[in-house]
Amino acid sequence: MAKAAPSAGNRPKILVFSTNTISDPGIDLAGSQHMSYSPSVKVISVPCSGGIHPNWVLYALEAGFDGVFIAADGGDCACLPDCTARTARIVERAQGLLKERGSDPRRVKMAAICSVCSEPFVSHMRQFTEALSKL
Amino acid sequence: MTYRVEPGLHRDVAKFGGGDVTTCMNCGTCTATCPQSAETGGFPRRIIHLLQVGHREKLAGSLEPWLCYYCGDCSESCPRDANPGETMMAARRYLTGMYDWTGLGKRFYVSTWWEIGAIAAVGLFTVGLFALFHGPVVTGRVELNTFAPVKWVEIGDWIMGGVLAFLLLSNGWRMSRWVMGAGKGVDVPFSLYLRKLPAFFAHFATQKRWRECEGPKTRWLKHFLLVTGYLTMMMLVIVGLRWFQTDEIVPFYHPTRLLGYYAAAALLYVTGDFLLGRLRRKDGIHKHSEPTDWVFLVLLGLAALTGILVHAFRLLGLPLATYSTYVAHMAIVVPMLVVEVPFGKWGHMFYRPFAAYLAAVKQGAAEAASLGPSRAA
Amino acid sequence: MIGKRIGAFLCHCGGNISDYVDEEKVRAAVEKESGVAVAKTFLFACSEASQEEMIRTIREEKLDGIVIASCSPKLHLDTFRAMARRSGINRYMYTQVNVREQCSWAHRHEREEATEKAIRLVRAGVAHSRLGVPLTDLRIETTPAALVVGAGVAGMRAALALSDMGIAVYLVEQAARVGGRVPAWGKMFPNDREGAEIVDTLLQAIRRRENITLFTGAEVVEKRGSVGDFSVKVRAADGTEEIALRVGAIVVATGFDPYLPAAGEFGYGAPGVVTLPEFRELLPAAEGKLRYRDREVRNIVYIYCVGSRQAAAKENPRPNLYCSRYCCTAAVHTALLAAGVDAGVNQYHLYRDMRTYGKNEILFEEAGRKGSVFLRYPDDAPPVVERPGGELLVRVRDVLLGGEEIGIPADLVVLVTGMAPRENANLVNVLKLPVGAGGFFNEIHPKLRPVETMIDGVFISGAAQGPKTLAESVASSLAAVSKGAALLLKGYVDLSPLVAKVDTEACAWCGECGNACPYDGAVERVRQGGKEVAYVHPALCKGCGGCVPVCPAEAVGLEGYTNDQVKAMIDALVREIV
Ligand SMILES: Cc1cc2nc3c(=O)[nH]c(=O)nc-3n(C[C@H](O)[C@H](O)[C@H](O)COP(=O)(O)OP(=O)(O)OC[C@H]3O[C@@H](n4cnc5c(N)ncnc54)[C@H](O)[C@@H]3O)c2cc1C
Ligand code: SF4
Ligand code: SF4
Ligand code: SF4
Repeated sequence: MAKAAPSAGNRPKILVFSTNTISDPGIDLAGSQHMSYSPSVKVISVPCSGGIHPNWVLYALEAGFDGVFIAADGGDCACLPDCTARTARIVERAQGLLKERGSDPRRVKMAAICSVCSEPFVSHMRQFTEALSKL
Repeated sequence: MTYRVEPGLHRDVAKFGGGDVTTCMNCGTCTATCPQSAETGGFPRRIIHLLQVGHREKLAGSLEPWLCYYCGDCSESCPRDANPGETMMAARRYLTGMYDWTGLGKRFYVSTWWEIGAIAAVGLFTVGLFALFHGPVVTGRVELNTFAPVKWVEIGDWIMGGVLAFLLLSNGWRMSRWVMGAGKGVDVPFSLYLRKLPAFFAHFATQKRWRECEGPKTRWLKHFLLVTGYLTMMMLVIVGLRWFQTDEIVPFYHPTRLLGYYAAAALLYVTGDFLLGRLRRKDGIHKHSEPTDWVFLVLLGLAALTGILVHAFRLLGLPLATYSTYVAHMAIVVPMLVVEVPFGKWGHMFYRPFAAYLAAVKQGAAEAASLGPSRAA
Repeated sequence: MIGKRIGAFLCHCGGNISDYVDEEKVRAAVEKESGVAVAKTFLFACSEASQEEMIRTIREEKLDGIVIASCSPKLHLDTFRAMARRSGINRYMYTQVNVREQCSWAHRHEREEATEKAIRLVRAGVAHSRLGVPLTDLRIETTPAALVVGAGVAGMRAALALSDMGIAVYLVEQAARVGGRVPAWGKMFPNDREGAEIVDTLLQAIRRRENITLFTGAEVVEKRGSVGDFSVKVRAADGTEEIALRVGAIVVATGFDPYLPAAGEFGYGAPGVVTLPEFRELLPAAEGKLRYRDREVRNIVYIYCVGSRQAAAKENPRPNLYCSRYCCTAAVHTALLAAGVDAGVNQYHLYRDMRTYGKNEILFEEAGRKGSVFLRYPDDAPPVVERPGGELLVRVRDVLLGGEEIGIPADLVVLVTGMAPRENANLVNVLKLPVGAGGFFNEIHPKLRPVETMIDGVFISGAAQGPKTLAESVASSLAAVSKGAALLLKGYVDLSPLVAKVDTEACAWCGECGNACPYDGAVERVRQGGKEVAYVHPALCKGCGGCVPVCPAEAVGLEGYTNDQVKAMIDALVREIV
């Protein structure tokens, strides 16, 4: 079972919240194009990033994830016109909750991922993985 | 002061011919293709735009129309078929009319009847002079110098030459006032005018800029033939008349005969060729012919033809034919010079090198101005 | 709930998944999950035979819910939901797990880890299905009638097209006369047909239709209900009469306002300075010569982009940033009409960019041939209109003369004014229309859903949506008609049940969810069990979840994405594999 790459078990575990119609197709595209990122990245898709509860972020980190990445809709969202601003507020609230509990707020990150943003997604995952390894 | 444009200037200029000025969308393709425009980077689009906008002042002060040799490349490339080359031609005619203080130039361009009328009047006047003042008609052998004594003809030549020179120079003075006025603020010392004078003669004699045009060099060559043929003829009849118009039959290799043959051959060949070209309307630039273009070519061809006929009749020893052809020749040459040189297309032969000369003066002044402060520093 | 029997079906995707993921290992691991009654693998889960076998298994094993681990739900969610329904279980008891795009294909060189990830993903799917509840689509019978607001050409054309499809139409026009702006323009580009004539033809046709009811001098004052079944009230402008209507869809075609320059803007207000609409009204009267206030007009100067493509400035904090699209073409067309009256008139066009796009380019060229002169001015140095000594003079920097200023004497200065959003606060309030940044009504997506709004069943069209030529206005109104008719002709709409739901026990009515919801009427305050709680109207909720994160009591949840479901999925994703 000797492996060159560190096993997934050693790499930071990342939970990604994606959105059904915009960022999730972007993440799908990364796979379709056979780009690779760490298998320790797992995705849960919801209708809109403006509907993610900060408590879920907290819950995920407490349950054992090392970081939570919110793949937001950017300006394209058909549900909530101000979805980016809402998502940013959610991230702030989650970071506030983390600080209260003595956790590092850098464990939560948000970026807009569009429906064809496969490359940005993969590079975000690489950077976030690196950043989390240093924490 | 903001310059107040003259709306409808392009309609005025349209009377001098030209392309569809307002059809031009100012894209600049013509300027990019013009082989002459490289240095200024402006024409023909700039000239067209001045006409569209109605900027008479800038047009009057512009040398650009004279830098165009009507190769026609621009008209070929224009995406709107606005015929910029023809507009440049019209601008030259318009400017010639504008420089001319007598107002006759403008008249002749705008109305063919005025032009033909003037030519006819001067021609008839010439015939009248011969009718009244000719010498004895010797019928036994050819004695042209008895019929028309060379010293009288020479005096007439000089008078005519003086009038023409006066007209051209005074118009040239007006032109330079506009042109130099347009380069406001640049101080031009008189010595510069003198130093650049050779440029005028160089351009006058060779029309050398023309060679920069793309395409067959034959047009330049034909033009060169035309100009040299014409100049040779002028030299022979004005300066060298006393050696040229003799009743003695000089040997074939005599310089006056050789020069005379050259001039006649060159003029006949070129005018014939140009006339045919216009008739066939083959290439782009010959598609549009204004009446003035025809008048000019026809007069020149006829002058050469009658000139060589006089010579032939004299060699053949036909006195009456010689005398009458001589009068006819004079009745063509005189109006051609009097009407066409200061007021018509022959004026271009003067304005073009004059424009090149003024451009050289301007450039010299600009260079001096830009050098000045740095030298002081 | 714990007693639910879940079936887990794992697809090889012909090797696309099984080449990189050890499917047998996944199956074995998942089979041991509590709640999983059966776990099976399939070569192609979507094939007819596989679906039959799954249906058989569901029935034999008496499953309550299923999970299929296969490709992205974007591909087969609907396929498998339909299969679930055929098997007799609720289609919302199906969860699709994406182990292809988001697992096997993305981790092709790490079989071990990809297999572990697949196990965790399927577990999360199982957790999701175990906490799922059977849901039914909300079916609304549609009323086969439509309301069209605004009887400009866009609205009239919409009414006729709806009527063609057998849908009853109520066409409500605020003004006393129909036709909107168009009758004022006289001959219109591109084919020189008279605006009034176009309107007249449409009006005749409308009069002949029995299923179109036209109200002029009337306004929409109330809207209730939801897509497929709206109740609206229309009131006569003088307030004398009010009519209640029931319609299934609403098409808004309320048009635009021509931009009105401020006094002094480009000399506006001085004699001889007119807007393009004003000039258009002068033109038809002219014969032989153009006259303005009894003086012959020799020189006309058009100034383009007035009121459009503005830059922010102190005196104009909310500039119209957009290009009005129609005006370049309208101005060159106007110049052609003017040249038709008097070929000798001099016309200067001071423009920024010439945008006579498409076939209208022909008009631009034609205007040049008919003597119009075009002169470009710099974006940051617009022309200045002056009247020294009583004569109009337009000073402009000519880009082609190196930015040098020239003065153009003018008898008439025509300001080529753009389109501005029409003042319509009441209607916006009644219909809850989304207004975009420029002030025009906003579509959901400019490319993919160009006439639908965030309000289901309310469509926008014509120049109300943004600057448009007449042809473009009508094209968009017919697009709105086809979307509206598709809704009405089916007879019903099925609304997704994946909407927000309030746990009334936990809710103590703070109102936060109501504040967070952008959809009018979706969240209501109701009394229940002796206290005030929030109620989410399932037909008006769009299921975005915007209310979820604001609820301090975690009392609101989206069906399919409840707090419990998300947390259970998180647990399933991290739990160790033994
Ligand atoms: C000067 C000028 C010249 C033009 N020339 C041309 C041309 O030659 N060719 C061309 O294709 N386009 C031209 N256009 C564009 C053309 O006018 C528009 O494309 C067209 O008017 C759009 O039609 P519409 O029905 O969307 O809007 P409108 O014509 O504005 O009609 C809207 C209607 O809705 C009504 N309304 C508004 N609010 C309410 C309410 N709350 N309740 C009920 N009713 C309401 C209004 O009273 C009006 O009747 C020109 C525009 C201008 C300004
Ligand atoms: S190519 Fe034609 S249209 Fe373009 S600038 Fe020259 S004359 Fe005008
Ligand atoms: S005719 Fe030739 S030289 Fe004259 S402007 Fe056109 S391209 Fe230039
Ligand atoms: S269409 Fe032309 S005039 Fe109108 S705003 Fe756009 S660029 Fe300006």
